[in-house]
Amino acid sequence: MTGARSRLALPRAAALSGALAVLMACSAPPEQAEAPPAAELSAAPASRWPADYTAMRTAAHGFAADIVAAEAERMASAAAGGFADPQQFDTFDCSEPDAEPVELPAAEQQKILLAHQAVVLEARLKAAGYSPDVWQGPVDQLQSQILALLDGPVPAYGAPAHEAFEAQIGNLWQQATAAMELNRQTLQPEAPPIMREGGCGAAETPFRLVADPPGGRVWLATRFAFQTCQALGKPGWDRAECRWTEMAPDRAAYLSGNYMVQAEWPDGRSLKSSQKFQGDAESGEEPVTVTIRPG
Amino acid sequence: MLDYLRTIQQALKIGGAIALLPILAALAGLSPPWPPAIAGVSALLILVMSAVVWEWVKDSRRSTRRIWVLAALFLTLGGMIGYLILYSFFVEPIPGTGERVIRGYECTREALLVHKSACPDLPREALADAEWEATLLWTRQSVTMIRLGLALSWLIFTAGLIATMGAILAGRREGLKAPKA
Repeated sequence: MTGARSRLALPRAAALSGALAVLMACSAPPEQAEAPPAAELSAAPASRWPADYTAMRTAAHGFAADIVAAEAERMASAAAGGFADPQQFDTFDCSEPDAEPVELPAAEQQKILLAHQAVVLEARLKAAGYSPDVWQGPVDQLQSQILALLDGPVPAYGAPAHEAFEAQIGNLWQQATAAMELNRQTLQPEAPPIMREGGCGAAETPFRLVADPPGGRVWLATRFAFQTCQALGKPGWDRAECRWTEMAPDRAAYLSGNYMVQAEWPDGRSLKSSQKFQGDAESGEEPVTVTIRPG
Repeated sequence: MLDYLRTIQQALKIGGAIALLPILAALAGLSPPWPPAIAGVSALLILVMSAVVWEWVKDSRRSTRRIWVLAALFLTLGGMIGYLILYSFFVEPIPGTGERVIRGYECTREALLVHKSACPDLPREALADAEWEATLLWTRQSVTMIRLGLALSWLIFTAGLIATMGAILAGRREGLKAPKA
């Protein structure tokens, strides 16, 4: 269980990468690309980062908006005695994407992920009510350190040195979290402790969900998230109200347990059902293809 | 000096032999699912305990050694019983995999909302519904306490075991005889 993480949000990484590729291909000057985000996600001025990273942060703002909105709502619930865990703040976000092979150099890919993670973290910290004095310095330093690391050789995904490189980045995240917690103890002792734990699911197996006939879109939610949503009085199948994630047909998602599935096709057909995804120890990393057909 | 080295060698031999136990137990799936390096920690503890017990007991009288043996046996049994009770209540294997999940004893607000009076003794399907992530159903604090309880009782069992063996073997006079010239 420890260390395992949910991969439901992986298609977001691909979308983010794709968007950035388009952004960079268009060669938009970073200064123009840095449009002010609608939700004021970051207090950091754009000029402190290299131009390409500034552009990546701008792209991340748009793609992180749904996460930020959900987190803000979650934190608001916590403040009102709701359902978030007000005991602590985890700098690891279970919805954050992992590094995956995309058609970009490894360093570029890592920078995109960093931009995404940093923007989401900043927004989550703000939504949770932490003072920028607590987190801004460590988060900025973290980004500077990782960017400096990425200026050197970056092993590609799947390369032998990749794991060690990831561990190095993981250590920097731990150090930044520790620095934030130290600041919190001094400046905001009444706020919940800041830690980095992670752990969002266990024993996941890669599954590829393919719509048949092609052209259908497939969404997935854990059965527990669906039930929680319903228990809160919201319509469980409503993708805007509940935590649904769209599955990319060309990309594997790491799943384990019982899920709710919904799909829609351009001709108006649809599917709403539940599905058990259970891998086995011998299935390895080869994705299991599951065909989704109209109900 | 030679005697001292021989004694250390003897103690390490015993410790080394018994260090195999947690490895065998791990193979049998008995060791706790958390922390990940528990087998290594157990082996290290065994080596240290074997040296400590040897140092304390080697020159003791038989009656003193017997007290040591009884105390260590008590630790072994206490640790084992505690561990088995916790394991039975709080460890859930994930079907089709070799992984295990540690439950907690206090439901999260979301789990209370969904499962109501079934909390905190939720069925296995509740875990499957939550991607087998225990902290979605039980508070991190309660899961952490159970993790610590499992690890601690396992280590007490392991330490007690080596202390028992060490206290028995430390009294074997022939183990300390110098080789004949």
